[in-house]
Amino acid sequence: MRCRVKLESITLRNTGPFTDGVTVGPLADGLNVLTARNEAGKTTLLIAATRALFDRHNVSGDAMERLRPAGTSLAPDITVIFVTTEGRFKIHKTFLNSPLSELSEDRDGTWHAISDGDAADGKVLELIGGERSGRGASKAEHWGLLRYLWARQGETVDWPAWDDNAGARIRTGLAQVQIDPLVERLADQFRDMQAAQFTSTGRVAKNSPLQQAQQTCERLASELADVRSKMEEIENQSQQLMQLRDELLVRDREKTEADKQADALTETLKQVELLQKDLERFQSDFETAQERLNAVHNEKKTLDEAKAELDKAQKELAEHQSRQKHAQKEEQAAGQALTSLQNDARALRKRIESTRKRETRLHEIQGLRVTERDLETLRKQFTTVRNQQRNIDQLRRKRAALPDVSNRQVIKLEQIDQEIRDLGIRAEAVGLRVALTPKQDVTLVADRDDTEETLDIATGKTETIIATRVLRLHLPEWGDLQIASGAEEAAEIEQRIGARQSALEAELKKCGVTSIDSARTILEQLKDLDKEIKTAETRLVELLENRDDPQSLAADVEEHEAAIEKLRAHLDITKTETALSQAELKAELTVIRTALETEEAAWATLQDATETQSKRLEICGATRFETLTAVNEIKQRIASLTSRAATIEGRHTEGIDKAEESAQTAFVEAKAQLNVARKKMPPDWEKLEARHERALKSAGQAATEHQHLQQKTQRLEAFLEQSGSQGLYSRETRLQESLVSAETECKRIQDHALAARFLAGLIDYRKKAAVSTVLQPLEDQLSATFADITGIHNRRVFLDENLQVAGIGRKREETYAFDQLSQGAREQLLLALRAAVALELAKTGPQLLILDDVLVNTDATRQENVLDFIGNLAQHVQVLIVTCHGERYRGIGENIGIRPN
Amino acid sequence: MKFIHTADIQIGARYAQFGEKAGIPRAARLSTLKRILEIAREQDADAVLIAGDMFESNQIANAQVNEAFAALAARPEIPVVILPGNHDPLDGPGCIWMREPFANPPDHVTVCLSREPIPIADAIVLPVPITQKVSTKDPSLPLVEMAGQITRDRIKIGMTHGALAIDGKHQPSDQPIALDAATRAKLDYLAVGHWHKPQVYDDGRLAMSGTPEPDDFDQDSGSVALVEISAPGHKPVITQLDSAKFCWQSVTVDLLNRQPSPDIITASIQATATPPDATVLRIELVGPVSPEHRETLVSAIDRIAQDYAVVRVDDRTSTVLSESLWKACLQEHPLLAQAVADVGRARLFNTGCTPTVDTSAIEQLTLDEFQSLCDDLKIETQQLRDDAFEAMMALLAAEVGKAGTGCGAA
Repeated sequence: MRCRVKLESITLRNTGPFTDGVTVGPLADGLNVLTARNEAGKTTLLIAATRALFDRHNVSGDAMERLRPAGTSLAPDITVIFVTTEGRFKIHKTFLNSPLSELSEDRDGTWHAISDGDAADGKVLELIGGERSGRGASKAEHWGLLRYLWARQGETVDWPAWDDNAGARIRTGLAQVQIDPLVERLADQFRDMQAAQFTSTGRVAKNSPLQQAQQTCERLASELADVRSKMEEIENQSQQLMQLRDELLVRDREKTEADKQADALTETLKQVELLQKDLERFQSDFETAQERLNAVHNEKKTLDEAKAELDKAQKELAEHQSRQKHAQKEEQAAGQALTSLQNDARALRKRIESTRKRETRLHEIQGLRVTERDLETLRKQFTTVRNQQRNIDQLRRKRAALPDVSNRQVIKLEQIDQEIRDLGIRAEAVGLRVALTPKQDVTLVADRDDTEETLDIATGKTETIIATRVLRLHLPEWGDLQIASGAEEAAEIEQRIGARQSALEAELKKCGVTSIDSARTILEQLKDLDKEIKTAETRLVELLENRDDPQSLAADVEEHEAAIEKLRAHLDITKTETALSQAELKAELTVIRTALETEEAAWATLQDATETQSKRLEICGATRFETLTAVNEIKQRIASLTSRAATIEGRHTEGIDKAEESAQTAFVEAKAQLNVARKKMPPDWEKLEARHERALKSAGQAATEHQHLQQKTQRLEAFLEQSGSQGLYSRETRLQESLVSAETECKRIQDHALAARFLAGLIDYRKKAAVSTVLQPLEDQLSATFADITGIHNRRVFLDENLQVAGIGRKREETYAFDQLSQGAREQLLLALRAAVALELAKTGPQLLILDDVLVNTDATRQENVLDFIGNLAQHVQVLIVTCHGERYRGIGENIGIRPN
Repeated sequence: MKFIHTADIQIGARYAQFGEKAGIPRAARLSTLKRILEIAREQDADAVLIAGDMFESNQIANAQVNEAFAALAARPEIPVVILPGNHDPLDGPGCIWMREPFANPPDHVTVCLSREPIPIADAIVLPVPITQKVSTKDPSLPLVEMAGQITRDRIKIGMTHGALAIDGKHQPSDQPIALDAATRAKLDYLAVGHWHKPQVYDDGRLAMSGTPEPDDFDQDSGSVALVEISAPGHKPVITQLDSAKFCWQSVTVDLLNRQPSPDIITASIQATATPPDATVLRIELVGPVSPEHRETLVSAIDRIAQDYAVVRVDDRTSTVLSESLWKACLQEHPLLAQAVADVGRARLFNTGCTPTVDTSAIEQLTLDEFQSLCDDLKIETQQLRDDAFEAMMALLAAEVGKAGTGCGAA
């Protein structure tokens, strides 16, 4: 495969910015870095080299015009020395003005021209694996492998499609994925076959032969079901007819039987009617005889009873007449006794009323005397109240005359006085004050104004020692310390005493006293007066006895005086009564009350006796009336009984006993005749009429049912007769036969369609599996390279069957698509892919990889990784890096420049 | 007394197995009726007794009924006694016998609508017509009483329809007839119909005539019984006479280790003497067939089918590849070979059929892969019947065959 090339040098003149000649090279076999500033013509250099390699020398057009130095008509002159598997060659081309093409081959270090003109152009394409372009300048797709191995600045980072011959060669060469054309054709054929029957989702396609076949089957099955349903209905109707016919026979028998039964009953009924007339006559005779016998029996019984009752009534009459006389006597005696008692009662009543009046007068006199006594008491009480009121008024006046000194004021005066006295004491004591705070427990002797005292002071505690004039301290392990008094403090205290005294005086003046003692005395007096007033007021309240004020008491006195006056006028007391003492009055009242009680008791007794006597009189009267009524009733009864007996005896002149015997004989004879007639009647003759009616009804019903069944049978017969001629079995037969054919055809189509669908899927599946198998080494290499560059080793690059990057991820099913990657990652990934391609190609010949500032989006860390990788790559592939960032590639490879000739 | 005893003509019968060609054997049954009448004339028979099931159903098309009636009416010299059977029972006004034209038959045709004795020549025919499709009762029982009322100087011929009461050979509801029914009723002959194979019992007095026209392959039928009874009490002489229009023949062609050619099939058929246009032929193809031979086979059968009345092919062959073809395929088209092997494996999974080629050298399709593939393709695995796999194999094998030929040429 002639597709391997390595550049050695490029020489330009009259091209782009290079009017004068420049040379790049010689390029090393490994890594070459061409560093130059922007606009220096790096890309122009590479484009010029591709023009020399891939374009015809006599081509023209804009692309070629752009090779001229700007604003000139100079002819671009380009020489490229390159190496292929065929050898070392030099192509020299001049474009536009005087087109020229010369191809030389290195033979033992000397260039030998091997062709020129079009032949040279063609030979070069052959050597480097390019494709002849059309009329114009070549395009990337004509550049063979260089299209894939020249990463050009400013171009998109997308990987080109493998859609040209070179791409196909790479695909084949790299992945060796060879899909059998036969299988491809078969797969297409199967796909077409299944697509004719199924949709992409596996459903039967609309209007497809399969659907039409299925619809035919469904239609036939539906028609078949319809015919079978009709046949089934006919079968059912036929069965029903059979049953109906059986039932009709039964009904027929039943109807005949019912008619017979009804006729027999009609005949029997006629005979019974004749017998029944005889029976009714005998029954009537029997009932008459029976009634006659019963009547005679009853009359005999009534006559006997009347006679017995008459005897009894006469005895009762005599007895009641005797009781009537006795009752009259008793009534007279009771009336006399009652009159006597009523007279006694009237006399006693008069006596009681007289005694009661006397008792009332004495009682009122006694009340008058009590009221008079109460009036006297009230008058005394009113006097005492009035005196007490005066006493209280006097005490209040006395209190009002004293200054109004309060207890609080006295306390305040005493406090000020105490302060003054304290200040005086302090003034006397003012002299020396020493504060001691030892670092350890200490015992010392203090001599205050010649008085010694031993003091124990604890560690850290401050002890203040005061003396009026002189203070001497005997400090252990140190010696004595004497301290004199101070006058300033004394003066301050004096001032404070003066102030407090002024305050005292002001306070005394405010209280209206001259001294504290006077204030205390007045305060005591005030307290005593308040106490007395309170006691007097309490006493006054007690004297008033629940009255609000003394005026109420005065009103009570006046009320009593008026009541006494009124009572005296009413009683008009006699002198004797006035002379009566209280005791005498009380004694007389007691006597009168006792007498009144005795009289009242006698009155009650008399009342009881009168009542008893009245009741007795009533009872006697009632008894008399009762006996009189009874006597009258018995007399009427006797008259009635006598009349009844006479009537009965009048009706039976022959005597009641003979009449009874005659009726008995007639009854026995009638009964015998009735029994004979009854025996002649058929059994249950009373029910015969009902039975006859029932039989007639039953026969009617049987006839109706029979007729109904007959009609139903006729309808069914008509239906079946009409149905039988429809030829349903033949229709079913034809439909079933058609259905079998249709189903067979439908199944055949379906099986073939399913077979095609399955086979198409199967081939796709196996094809993918094959691609996946052969892609794996390339994916391994690509993934390893990408991992080296990115430093991320736990992900893998996956390719699709077109050798496009399917995505990156841990699994094929879970990848990030190429489009989802960052610009930098995409650059790095494509670099890795180009490297993989170049490495693969380099196995069979020299290979060039051009990187024209393609890693502009790569960060510093990954840049280092890239350099490491490119370093390794350059051991197998000639790498030409073209960049304006020389610092990025410093220290690696051969640094080449654009050298003027 | 000499008469033709037949039954089960079953005019209007169904032949769903022949699909669109079913009309041919169906039409033959009407021809057979005419043929029977012709035989009767040839044999100078006193009558034709049709012991049930003259028609397939009471509900067959009027056209067929009318045609049958016309056939009978066309032969007024031959008395015909027709007994309703279980297919065309006397079950109501809708039955054939109660409708026109059989409701008013010509004088020489007697439809047994009751058990009324029918005098024919020196014999009395005692019919017991069938009134329902199924019954557990022996329809020959009334014959005892019926025959008892006939004088001894008359030949007594009973007629009824039902299965013979042979243990294990009949359904209880198939109106079973006692094997000694003729003797029991003191009949000279009892003509019975129902079973399609002719048979005789009760010392030659009870006979099942069989169907006059076969309706299945390898069925020993297609004849009528010519019965001669010289005098009352004499044993009947029964002779089976061919009446069938079609001979039903089934041949099995096993293609194992054989090259398919027209000769293989014609050789198999030649075992019968019936002419092709009077033969209903079933060709059962079994065994393996290679794709290169299948086409030959199909065209051979098509050619043969043109000569025969009806041909039905039951293709149970399986498509296989020859070893040489398989090897060539493996070498030149590995992906195609893989597909062939995969189909074989899938067929094994679904139907249990073992692959016909050695696929041990190829990656084996797993059950999971097969299931997954079906899921992806939205195919239910049970949809893939053996016929579908056979179709797959045929499609693939045809291509392999073409490719193999190409390889060989290369």
